Amino acid sequence: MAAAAAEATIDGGGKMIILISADGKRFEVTEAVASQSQLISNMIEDDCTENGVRLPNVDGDILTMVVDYCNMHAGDAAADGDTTKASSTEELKKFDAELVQALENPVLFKLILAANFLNIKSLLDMTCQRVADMMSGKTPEQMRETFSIENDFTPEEEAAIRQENAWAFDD
Amino acid sequence: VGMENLLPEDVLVNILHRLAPRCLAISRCVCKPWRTIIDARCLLRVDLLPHLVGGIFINFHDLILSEFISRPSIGPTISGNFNYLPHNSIVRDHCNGLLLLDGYVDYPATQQYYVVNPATRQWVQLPPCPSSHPGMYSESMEYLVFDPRLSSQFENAVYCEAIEEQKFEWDSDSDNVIDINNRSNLTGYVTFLGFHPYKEVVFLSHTLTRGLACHLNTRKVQDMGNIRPKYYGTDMGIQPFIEGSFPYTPWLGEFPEDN
Repeated sequence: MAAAAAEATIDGGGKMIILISADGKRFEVTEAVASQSQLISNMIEDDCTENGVRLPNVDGDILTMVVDYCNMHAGDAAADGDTTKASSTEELKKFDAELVQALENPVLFKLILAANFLNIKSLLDMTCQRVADMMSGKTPEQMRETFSIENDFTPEEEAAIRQENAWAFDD
Repeated sequence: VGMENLLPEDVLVNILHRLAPRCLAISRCVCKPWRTIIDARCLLRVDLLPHLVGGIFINFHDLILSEFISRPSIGPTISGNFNYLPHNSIVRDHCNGLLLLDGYVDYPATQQYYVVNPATRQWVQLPPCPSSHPGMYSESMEYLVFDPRLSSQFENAVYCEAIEEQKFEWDSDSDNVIDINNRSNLTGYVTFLGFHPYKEVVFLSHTLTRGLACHLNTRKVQDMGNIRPKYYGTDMGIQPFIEGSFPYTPWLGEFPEDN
């Protein structure tokens, strides 16, 4: 997957384009796969993907995940496309769940940033939902610990803010 | 680097707006950047939330009116009195402070539905349901869905006849805790009344006489007092049981009267 593509080939009628990560890794994907990224979709429309698309914000290991995700989801983007290639809904759910659940926080955040930069809405939604799920049911202390957040409130300030929404804390 | 500085603001908003109100209120205390975002984007509309349970409406079998139980309810229960409606009506559903009531008109035999806000006594009659095909048997269920955050008129919502909030809040009190290890408390049967809207609390009825609030996290059980209407079940031929129940969360807003 991460290996440099020798040459762009025609696959299923779609043109191939090359994505280049910050650390110089090259990924060859079909236009259909790549255009799940709104950013790249716009570039394809503007005809500026000829020499490959450089993504200076995205590391190779993160781009590997993004490309895997886009390959898996290419089926649902192309509505009545090739049904043999499109993954079943069940498979997709399993793939998505495994993708986000295994991630350590720093990697998850990098993936969120990549999804945000590349503007891949479904991947951004899924990863943001993962963070939201990790937050729910936690106390402020547990949230700070989980996400390495520094408490910049004084004890008095924090007590006052808790008091503003006391209903959320008593149990 | 912590998450609060790593993720750009629009991404944080995307995450925060997925949280349930209670989790959002807790997130507000985590750090200043989060509080700033939550406040600046008005993500937490506390004024529009159901933040207390004002009581529970209960429909007892064979009674034509719904009962309303609220704490303190040591004495006889308060009747679900909707005498400002044109017909005797019974509660069919509740959502975020509004009730759907079903009023049966004897002559000509028809069903009238009302949406009522018992906190403000505002009510509106719904247009009749589309009738089913003649000769066909149909069974229908009535539901009410209402999101105060989408109500265009919530700005007018400051009413002075507010319910005295703290008095009715069962959960903040730690009184009336039942010793669940004492087996004599546990004889009889238990009916499910409903879930608390945002806490890990389930409301139960014990042999139709006592309401119980069970805190699932702390395994604490609170006695909410008597829920049984006076004389209920003493008449011949009446089979006492609870047909339906609706934990009620007051909302003091005004709903649009059009359609």
